[in-house]
Amino acid sequence: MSSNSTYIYETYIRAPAERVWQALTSAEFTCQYFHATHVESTWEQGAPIRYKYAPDGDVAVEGEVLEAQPPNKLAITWHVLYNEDAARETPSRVTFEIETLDQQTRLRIVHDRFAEGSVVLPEISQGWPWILSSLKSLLETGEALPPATA
Amino acid sequence: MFAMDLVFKALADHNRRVILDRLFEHDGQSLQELCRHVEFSRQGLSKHLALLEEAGLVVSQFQGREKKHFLNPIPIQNVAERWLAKYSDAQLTAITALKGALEEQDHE
Repeated sequence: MSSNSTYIYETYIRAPAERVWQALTSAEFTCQYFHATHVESTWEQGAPIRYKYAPDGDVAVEGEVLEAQPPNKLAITWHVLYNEDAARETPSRVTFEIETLDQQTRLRIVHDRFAEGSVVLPEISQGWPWILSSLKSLLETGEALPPATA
Repeated sequence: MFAMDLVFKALADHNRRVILDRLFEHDGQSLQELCRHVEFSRQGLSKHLALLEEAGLVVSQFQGREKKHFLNPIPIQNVAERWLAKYSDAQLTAITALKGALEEQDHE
């Protein structure tokens, strides 16, 4: 049984689509804007993906690559491990859609397929907007936002 | 028009803020569903939604044959960061304190 809630967040970034893709898929970028996590995967369909607190640290979020079309689309399952209740849930799905429009890049994040009564879902509306703003800031100015206090 | 101008223009209208509030309460509504929760015409709703989409405050996605509308708070966050970072906490606190003091005097 799953919830039919869907969350969509979108931002325009003054950087080429390839750089946005690179920012989503390389640890040297994610550790700067994604709550200091290091992402790792081979980015092939069916491959595991992990967001770790340090290169050899604990896994915050793990998943599986459902679809990878550089630099335009990345779909992964999203299994939160940093919270015990969330870790017991079935994974949700996160899709990153990257599109070039008017010399800017539109990055859209669609988060859906939540477990019924998901504890991850209420955190989404705090999490993604901040991460997206931080990513935009990093690519446009070279600096991510200061660490979130929330 | 600059992206931020579009955001302010979109937010300057009461009915458009009502639409955003309805989407905040229940995200991912179709035009028909939204129509039941606002007090203006379907034509008006369509026009407001188009403007909200242009400003990036609403994004839409087809789910099957239905176009669903979602609240996208990122432009508001960008506006907040642009302005709140500029006016430091210290200045804001001083202004708020002054406003409070003046209003108190008014009541005496």
